[in-house]
Amino acid sequence: MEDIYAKFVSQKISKTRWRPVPPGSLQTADTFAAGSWDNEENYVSLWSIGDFGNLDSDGGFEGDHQLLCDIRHHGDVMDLQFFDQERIVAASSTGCVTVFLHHPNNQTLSVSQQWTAAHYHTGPGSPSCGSAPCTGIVCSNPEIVTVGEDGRINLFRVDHKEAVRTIDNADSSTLHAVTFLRTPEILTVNSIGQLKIWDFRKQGNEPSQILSLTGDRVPLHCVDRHPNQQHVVATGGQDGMLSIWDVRQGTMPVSLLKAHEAEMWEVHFHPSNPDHLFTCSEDGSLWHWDASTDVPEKSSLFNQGGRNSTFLSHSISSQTNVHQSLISSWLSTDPAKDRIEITSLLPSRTLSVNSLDILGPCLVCGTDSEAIYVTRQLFS
Amino acid sequence: MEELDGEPTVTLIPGVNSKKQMCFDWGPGEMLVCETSFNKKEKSETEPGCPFIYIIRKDIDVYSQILRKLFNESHGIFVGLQRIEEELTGKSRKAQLVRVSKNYRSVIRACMEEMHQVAIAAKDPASGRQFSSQVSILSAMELIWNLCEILFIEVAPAGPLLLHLLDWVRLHVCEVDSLLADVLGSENPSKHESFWKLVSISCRPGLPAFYLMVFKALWLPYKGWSKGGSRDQSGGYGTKPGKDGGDLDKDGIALSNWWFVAHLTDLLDHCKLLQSHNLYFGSNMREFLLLEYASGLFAHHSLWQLGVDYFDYCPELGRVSLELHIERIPLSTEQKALKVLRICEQRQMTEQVRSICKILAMKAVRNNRLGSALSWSIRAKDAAFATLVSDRFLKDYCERGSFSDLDLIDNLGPAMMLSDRLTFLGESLGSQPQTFGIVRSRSLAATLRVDHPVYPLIALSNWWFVAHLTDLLDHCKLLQSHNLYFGSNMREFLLLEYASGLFAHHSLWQLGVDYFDYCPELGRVSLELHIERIPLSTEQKALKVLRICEQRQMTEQVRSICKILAMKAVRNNRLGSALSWSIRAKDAAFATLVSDRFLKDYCERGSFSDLDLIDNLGPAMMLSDRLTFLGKYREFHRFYGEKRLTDAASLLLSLMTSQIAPRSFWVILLIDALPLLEEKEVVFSAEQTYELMRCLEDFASRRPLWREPGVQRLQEDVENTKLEMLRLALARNLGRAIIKEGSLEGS
Repeated sequence: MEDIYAKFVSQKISKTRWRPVPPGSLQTADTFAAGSWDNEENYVSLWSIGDFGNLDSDGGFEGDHQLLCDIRHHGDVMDLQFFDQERIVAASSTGCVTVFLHHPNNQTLSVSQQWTAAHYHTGPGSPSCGSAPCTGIVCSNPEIVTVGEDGRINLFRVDHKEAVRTIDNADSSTLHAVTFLRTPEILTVNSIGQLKIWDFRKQGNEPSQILSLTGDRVPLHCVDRHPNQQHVVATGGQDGMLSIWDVRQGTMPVSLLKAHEAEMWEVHFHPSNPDHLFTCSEDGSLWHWDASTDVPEKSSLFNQGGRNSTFLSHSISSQTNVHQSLISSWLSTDPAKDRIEITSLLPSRTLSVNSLDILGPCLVCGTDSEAIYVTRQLFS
Repeated sequence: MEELDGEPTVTLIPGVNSKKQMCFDWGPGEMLVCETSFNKKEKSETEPGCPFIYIIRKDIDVYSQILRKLFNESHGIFVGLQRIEEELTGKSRKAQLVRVSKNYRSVIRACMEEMHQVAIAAKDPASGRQFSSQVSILSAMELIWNLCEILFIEVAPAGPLLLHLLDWVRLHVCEVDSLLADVLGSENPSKHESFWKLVSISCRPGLPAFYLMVFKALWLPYKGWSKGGSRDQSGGYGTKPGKDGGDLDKDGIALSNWWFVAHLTDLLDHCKLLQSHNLYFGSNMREFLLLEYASGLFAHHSLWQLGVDYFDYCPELGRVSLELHIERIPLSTEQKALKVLRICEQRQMTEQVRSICKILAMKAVRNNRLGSALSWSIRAKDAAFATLVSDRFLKDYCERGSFSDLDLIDNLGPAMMLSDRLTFLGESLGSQPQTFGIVRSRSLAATLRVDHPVYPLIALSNWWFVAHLTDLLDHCKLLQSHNLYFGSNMREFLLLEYASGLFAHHSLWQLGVDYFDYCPELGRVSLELHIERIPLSTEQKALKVLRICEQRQMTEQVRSICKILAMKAVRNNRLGSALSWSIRAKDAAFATLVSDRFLKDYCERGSFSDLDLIDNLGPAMMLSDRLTFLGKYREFHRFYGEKRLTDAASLLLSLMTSQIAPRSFWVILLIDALPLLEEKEVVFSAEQTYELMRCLEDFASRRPLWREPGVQRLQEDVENTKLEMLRLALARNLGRAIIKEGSLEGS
């Protein structure tokens, strides 16, 4: 991965997110949002990676990502999601959930909607009572679901002032992340190693299903759902393990893969090429997991054939990829783990990599060493 | 204190009313100041007090947005440098070090450029000036770093060295660009007439030591015209350790000593035969050669006295050179020291007199000759050292109950006024260890500044520059480790200072961790002290801090952090969270406390909260008895719910018989047994029923009897009814069980 740009931005970055491209357009990613944490003043900012067509003669891209605009954010940015092209939802450590609106004409950000005290503690009158950090958000127009350290789940609608639905005491421990499974169903992970599936159609405060790791109650920090197969879910835990789950069957993970040395902060399937998975961790590493099966096998087979085979093997293996992804390479219980090829994307270990996002061939990640890394040629 | 080069500058703190009496307290990198209620003068009027506490920060640089990039980026380079160690040797190692040094410089340059742009763009002139001054500090840093890189790290042979130096000149002194073009364009750059002018300009911001080094390095090619032979001693100038002087020459410019040319030139000069080559840096050829010769003499073990006179006759640089050399003469005996002192005093070299006295005083302290140390430090007029020695006296006094060297102390006379402590000692009162600490650290800083011409920039910026440069030089094995007497070396001292500065910052603390890691002696202790003081605003931040502690096996800190989080969770009524934190902290007492809260909630509400956690305790259940009980009791409920009555019954019984259940809970357990006793099937065997009965009677007999009659009569009655019901049920069950068991045996 030669073309990885680093830019030091003078704030610790907790979240980075690509702005989604309009569906059906051929545009590639060009803008991302970043949120900072643990500064005296925290910001949500928008960055542009510049004109993609601006390829100079050496084949390189001129310059790195540039700041478009930023806005102050009260408290640490705990999570950040694009609601649509213009709106960004941010979760705060003060328990507040804010929707920011981007005005592309004069490049400014403004607050368009805010739910203060979406997450709060109800302790016995001690001073620390009140706000509880909101730890995760997931958006599916027009709904926004938030989870927090208070074990509460909120369902907001962007045009409603009040929460549409609140599940108090949804969890006895901290909820760390949330994702949509199917539209009325969400999946949360918590700090005692459980996945819980909640169905908003059901009344009451009980999850419809609980899945958990065995015994050790290792906290889970992140979750992502396979973009095509809604029953396949990946989670990352405190011990840096990557777990793949099939929520249709069993309460145990399908596979457990030893990955990072410290907390895995985020895991993401590639949205359009889900045989690729990306993880980042507290130990300062960013990994690319390639499970597009048996590329090495195929090529070795064809290498015996002769010189021209490389080209051929490429075209064929890409076809098999399409075929393979239908039966999900992640779920096969084949213990031959070496099918998965892992590459480390960052040149040298730094401080914690807190967040990553992928869109098309572009990847962005933010670190505690106050740098944002961007690469535009993931699969080169 | 008195060692500081000049008067310390007075910094006014805006907003502080100087008429009021203030109090302050030092912290790492910052100071707290607030008003007291005392008034200076006894005025009856009570002015409205200022309600603020001021936090005064020492190095504002840490708070600069642009410099944060410098800190972050250099952190990566620093960690990389610590890791290249060992496996690399020789050439490749040197190449690595040069690369690292260049990386550092490019970071400085990037910052400088950005700062420059900000300075130009600044609308407000005051902030513009501030940025510009930052730019000039950064450029000075880069300048010195570059020179150090050329001379100490890259250590090129003479020819390329000259080119490097010329490059350095070109890069840093823009005003001489045209001059330079001329010089470089000529056939033999070093013989061009403007050559020395260039050098002299380049040396302007530098220090005498640098000045000499550059000069010497540039001069190397000229040495060619002196006679062949081997030069046995290299006259190390200034800060350069002798070893490297050798390195500079090792490309084989073989030299005899400078005797021949020096004397010849001198003679010719006296004959007015030599048009004196006015070197632009202010010395002429004769002087240069004499200097070289004299420094050669100084390198010799016993010829150094001869050199003194040669230096005396070099009008321009003679004195500086003498000052540099004379300090480095080993003071083996006191007699030799007195001779050196005499030389210095004749020439009013006060600085050297002081430093020699100090060395002697230090030696005396090491040899435990406090009286002699004191008199040397009085001769050096060195207040800090006198304080130190006085403290030793006081310490000895505390230990032994009597003063040594009374004759000296009694006859201190006016010298007593040299330092407060000495006055104190003279008046033989008690001692104050805290102030002593301050004095010591100040004198340390002063020592660093006096001994090392590289470090005057200490005063300029925060510790970034000195810490990183010293670290790099240390990796080049260039620093003779200055063993400071509190047990750490200079590199470590500077790194510690820098890292604790970072820890004082709201968000740069993460960087500081790695710097502490690479301080072998005091790093860990400092880290332990600092890490506990980081505010844990969110769980995520807490997790990061925890990870740092766990990676370093700092169990004490891990426990305390988990405990803080558990306590917070309890306050917020998040018992599940509290329990999982106390399990992580392996804190049995706290787990017991939380379990009790759970049981209390159960008693009040009749159902458990946080089932997801309690059902999945696993082996963590063994942490405390109460937690085991909680888990097992919940298991009993599950068995009962699943209609596994026999399992439920035996579990219930074992809870009581194994004594894990708290006494107060027995009555609840016994009542839980009621429905089991009343089942159609016989659940408890006869044996088990006996056990239950024993438990019941045990409980009934130990019931507290201190209750006042009448007050809780009603409750008493209820309890008695319960007991009666239980006895009845037990008796019935026993009957059924005996019949059943009997019939089974019979059949």
